[in-house]
Amino acid sequence: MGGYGVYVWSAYAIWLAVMIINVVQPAIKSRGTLKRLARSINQRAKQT
Amino acid sequence: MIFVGVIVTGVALAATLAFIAIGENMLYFFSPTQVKNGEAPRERTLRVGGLVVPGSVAREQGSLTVQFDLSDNRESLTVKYTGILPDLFREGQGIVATGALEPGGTFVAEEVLAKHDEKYMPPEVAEALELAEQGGRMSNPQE
Amino acid sequence: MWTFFHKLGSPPYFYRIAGRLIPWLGWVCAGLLVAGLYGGLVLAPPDYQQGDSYRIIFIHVPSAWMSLFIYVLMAVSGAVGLIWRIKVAEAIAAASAPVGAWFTFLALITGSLWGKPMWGTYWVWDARLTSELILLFLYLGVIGLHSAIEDRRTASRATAVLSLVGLVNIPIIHFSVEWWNTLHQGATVTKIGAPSIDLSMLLPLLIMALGFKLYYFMVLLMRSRVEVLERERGSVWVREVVQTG
Repeated sequence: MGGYGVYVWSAYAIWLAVMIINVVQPAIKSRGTLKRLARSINQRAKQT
Repeated sequence: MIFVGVIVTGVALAATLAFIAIGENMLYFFSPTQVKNGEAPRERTLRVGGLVVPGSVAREQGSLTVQFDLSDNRESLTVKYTGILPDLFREGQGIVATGALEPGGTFVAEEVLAKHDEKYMPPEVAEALELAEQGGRMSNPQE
Repeated sequence: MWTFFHKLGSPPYFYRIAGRLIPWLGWVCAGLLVAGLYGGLVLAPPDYQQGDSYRIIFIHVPSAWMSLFIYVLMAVSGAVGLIWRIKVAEAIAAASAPVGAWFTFLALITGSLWGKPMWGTYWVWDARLTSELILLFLYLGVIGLHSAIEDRRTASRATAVLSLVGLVNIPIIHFSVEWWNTLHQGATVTKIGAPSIDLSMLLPLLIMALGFKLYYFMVLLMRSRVEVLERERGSVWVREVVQTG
C-alpha cells in the first residue's frame, strides 16, 4: 500500500466491522422478538 | 409535542451556530493578493491559501523548517513553517496555511494543509496527459 | 404497479415478501462487494498524486452517498407515515435511522483516515465535514427521540417531524464544496459533464456503491420486519407467524 497501509487497512477494518455488526444485530434482535412474542402469546392462551 | 419542539429548535440552533462559525472562519481566509494589499489583519491568526510556487521551496539544513512562496497567480507571499508537511505538499500544489503575519511581511504558519483536486487517474494517464499538453504547446509556438 | 405498492402497505404481506427478498439481496450484495473490493484493492492502479492512499475512496464515497440517500428515504417514508398513517412506512423510517447513522460514522471515520496522510490533519472544521457531522447528530437525535417516546406510533410522528426539518442539511452537504471554500475537494462523479476519474477506478467505485445500496436494503428489510412485528403484536397474523416459527 505504498506506505499508507496503516490508514487504508484500518479504514477497511472499521468498515468491515460495521458491516458485520449491522447484519448480526438485527438478526439477533429478530430472534429475540419472535421468542418474546411467542412467550406472551402462550401466556395469554393459558389464561383464557 | 413540546419535547419534539425543544429538540427541533435545539438542532436548528446548533446547525445555525455551526454555519455562522464556518462563515467567520471564511472571513479570516485571505489570498496572497489580499495580504499584499494590506487587507489582512496583522496581530491575529488567519489563514492563507494558494499554490506553492515551483522552485521556491527551501529547506533549512538539519531542521524541519521550510520556506516557500505561496501564489494566487497574481501576487505571492513567503511562508515559513516548522513541522511535518502533508504527503501531498509539493510544488504547484494548492495548500492552506494557518498562522500569522510577521512585521516583515513573512507569514509564519502553525499548520499547513494540502488541498487536492477531484481528479483521480493512474500515473501513466497523468504522464500521457502532460505529454499531450506539451505537444499541443509545441505545435502552437505563437501561444 | 399501484396494487403492488398497496399490498406492500399491508404488514403481513410486507413481512412475507421481505423475508423472501433478504437472502437474495444478501447474496447479490456479497458478490458485488467482493468484486468491488477486488477491483479497487487489486486491479485499480495507484493514483498519480495520492498513491495508494486514495483506495479509501471505495468505501468512503459510497458511505457518504448512503448517508445522504438513507436520510432522504427516512424523511420521505416518515412523511408518508405522517400523512397516510401507513404502518409499514413508519417501520421503514424507524429502521433506517440506525443504518444511516452507521454509514455517516463510516464516511466521517474513513474520511479522516484519508485526510491525515493527504491533507495533513484528521479533522478540519470545513463546511463539508461540519455539515456531515451535523448529519450524524441529526440521525442520533432521531434515534434518541424515537426511543424516548414509549408509544411507537407517537414516536414515529415525532421523529418524522424532526427528520423533515433536518432535510435542509442534505443540499447543504452536497453543495458545501461549491458554496464555501472548503479543504474537501469538489464532486468527482456526481457533477455535470464527465466524471474526472479514470474508468479503472470509477468502475470498482460504482460496483461498491451498488453493493452498499443492496446492503442497506437488506438490513432495512431485516430491521423493519422486527419493527412491524412489534407494532402489530396484538394482531392475528403475528400470532400465526410466531406459532409457525
